Amino acid sequence: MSSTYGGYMGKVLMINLTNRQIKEYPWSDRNRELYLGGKIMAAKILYDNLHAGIGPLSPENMLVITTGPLTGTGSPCSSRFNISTLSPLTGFIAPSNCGGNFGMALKKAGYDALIITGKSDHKTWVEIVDDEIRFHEAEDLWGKTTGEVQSLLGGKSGKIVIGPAGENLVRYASIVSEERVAGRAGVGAVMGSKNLKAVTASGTRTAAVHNRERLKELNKQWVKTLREHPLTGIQLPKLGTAGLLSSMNARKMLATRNYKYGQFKDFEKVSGELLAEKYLIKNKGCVTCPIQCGRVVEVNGNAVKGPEVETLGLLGPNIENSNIELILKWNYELDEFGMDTITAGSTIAFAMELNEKGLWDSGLQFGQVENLSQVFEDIAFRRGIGDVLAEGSKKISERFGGKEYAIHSKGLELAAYEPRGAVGQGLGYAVSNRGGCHLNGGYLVFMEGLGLNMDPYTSKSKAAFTMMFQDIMEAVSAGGNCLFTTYSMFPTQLITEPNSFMARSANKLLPYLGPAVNLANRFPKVILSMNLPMIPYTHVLEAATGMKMNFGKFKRIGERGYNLERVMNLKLGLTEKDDSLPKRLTHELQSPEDSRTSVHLEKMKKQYYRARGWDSAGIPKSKRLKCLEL
Amino acid sequence: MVHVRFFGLLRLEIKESTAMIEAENINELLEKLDAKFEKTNIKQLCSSIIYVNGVNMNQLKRYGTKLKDGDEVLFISPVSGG
Repeated sequence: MSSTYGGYMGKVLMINLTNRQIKEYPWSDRNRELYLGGKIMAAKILYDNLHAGIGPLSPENMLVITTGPLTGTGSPCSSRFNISTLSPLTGFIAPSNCGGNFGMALKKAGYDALIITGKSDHKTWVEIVDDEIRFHEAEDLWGKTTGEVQSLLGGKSGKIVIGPAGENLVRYASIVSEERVAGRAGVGAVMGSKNLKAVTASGTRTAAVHNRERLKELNKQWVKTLREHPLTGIQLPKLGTAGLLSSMNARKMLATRNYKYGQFKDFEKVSGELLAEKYLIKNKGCVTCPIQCGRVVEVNGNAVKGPEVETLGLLGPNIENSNIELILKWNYELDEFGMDTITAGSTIAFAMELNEKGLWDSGLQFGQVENLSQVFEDIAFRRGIGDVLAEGSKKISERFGGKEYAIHSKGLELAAYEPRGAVGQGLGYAVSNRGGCHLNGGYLVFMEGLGLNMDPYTSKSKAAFTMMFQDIMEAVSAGGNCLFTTYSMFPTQLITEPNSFMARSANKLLPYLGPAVNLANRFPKVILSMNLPMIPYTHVLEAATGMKMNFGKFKRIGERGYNLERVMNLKLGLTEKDDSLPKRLTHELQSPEDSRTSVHLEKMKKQYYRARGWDSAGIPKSKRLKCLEL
Repeated sequence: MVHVRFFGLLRLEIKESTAMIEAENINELLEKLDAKFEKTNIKQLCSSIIYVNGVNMNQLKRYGTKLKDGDEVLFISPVSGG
């Protein structure tokens, strides 16, 4: 089923590992118009094929690996691909995004997406070379780390692989491509449950685009914008995301001691500044990326990927560790085992607190971290306490107690941003479709101190902005770009001159803009029917695909995706009660003397549901769904 | 003496993480830091996010905020992103 639109290869490959049946999955141009690609396309495929009662680790679950129409077109930061499935941590839909080489390779082989279902009766890996699909024995690859297996497979193909954690069904196992990771929500465990160690893709095709000259010109301009913007051109290349940690600490939003506090006395010892000054060999990025936010550091004499801020936070302050060299080592080891650093760090912190409170004698203690390499290995191979830790915080709390300080939402552990220091981020964590995710939650922390300086404690307008950013990021991701490209949408002066009259006035005004933002959320077609110059996606998508695109349509695609994931989750049994945070964050004040320092979740949730056109039970109203053509 | 700590790009540029400075208010502190560090300038320092004992100076008296012996002042480069 080919496409009349540019940017797409026009085919979706479906492989059933149970009977090795290979077929083309039907995907029409109408679907491309409605769902664009990436995570939204994956949500539609999962919605159409899965139903309540399917276990995430059962053969019926699907791994849906999707690209966007911009993948492989030379658009900046467009090597990213998406993996969606039912999460073994949450039981709900879980998209996980990755910047490795597999997405572009899949398109070269001629496919926009790959659906894997069923379960192989023996350990296997799959090779895709243009139209040819080959199944191989993987007995000799089993037990190998993600780096080892990629070396053994060799060649120039794009690869996705799992490590021992995925093989052993650790509920937060990741899928790795080069050094980049689809880290969250346990996609690697689903791959392991199918006895699938790796998939490689290669081919000779290229995506035809609608207007190559126009696209080339737009991409050139966009790269220039990204290189000149203070965030994407200076801060991220020099400090990476790790550069956030000091700001988070100053603003009391750095998860510390299993989220008991928002500041860590030794934060400088695990900061991005120290990383840059003492350990950084060079910065690095995904293919097609002009930002190059990745860190390259030395571990045991090898140049390896350095940690992101979430990893520094959760394996640093959150477990009271101030040894950055251990974090560099663990980050590498966790990637090699194929395990999410966020959930691993947060689960360890929870186990430390359970031990401290006498609820589970895990032997783990805050600040006593020298043996954690062994603990991570035990998790990956499910040995001893590792077998329990491999289940994640939610299941551990169901067994041993401590639910009020098991720091997850819907079963997915939160990132390192302590939401009592940025309450809008707290709302985002709670309502996010994949659980406690900072990005799927709208990343409001950027407005609440890490970019702009909107009052982080007020609930005013946070629901409206959360919806706006969730929808935009949903659409950006579906098109195939990295979410970091969205930073260049923010006016430079508001960021670089925070003490200026203009910036201070804007920050004071933001909490009162909710009604206007809600209007734009509700009627994007009417209000935003123009191509906004500071939002490049619409222009680039139009040039690449030939689809008529404006900001209203673009945002509407994002809203459609967000609601589709929501409807899918409702089908799987989600209720309003699942949009939650642990009591530590909603009922315990971060600063006992300051009543603003907890997340006023119920109030913001009501505002958020209303903004989204959902009823009080968090169910999208039929009128809204009809409006979204769902 | 005021204990000044630098973070973000500013710290990478001046290659110092701390300084001890005698100053009565933020304005005076800015002038002294400008004179002390060649690799920065008053505009860049003024554009930093400045915390005095954990409180953003914009919530105090901005550049006129008084300082006393033992105060801790944080200078954080304004751009972040993650």
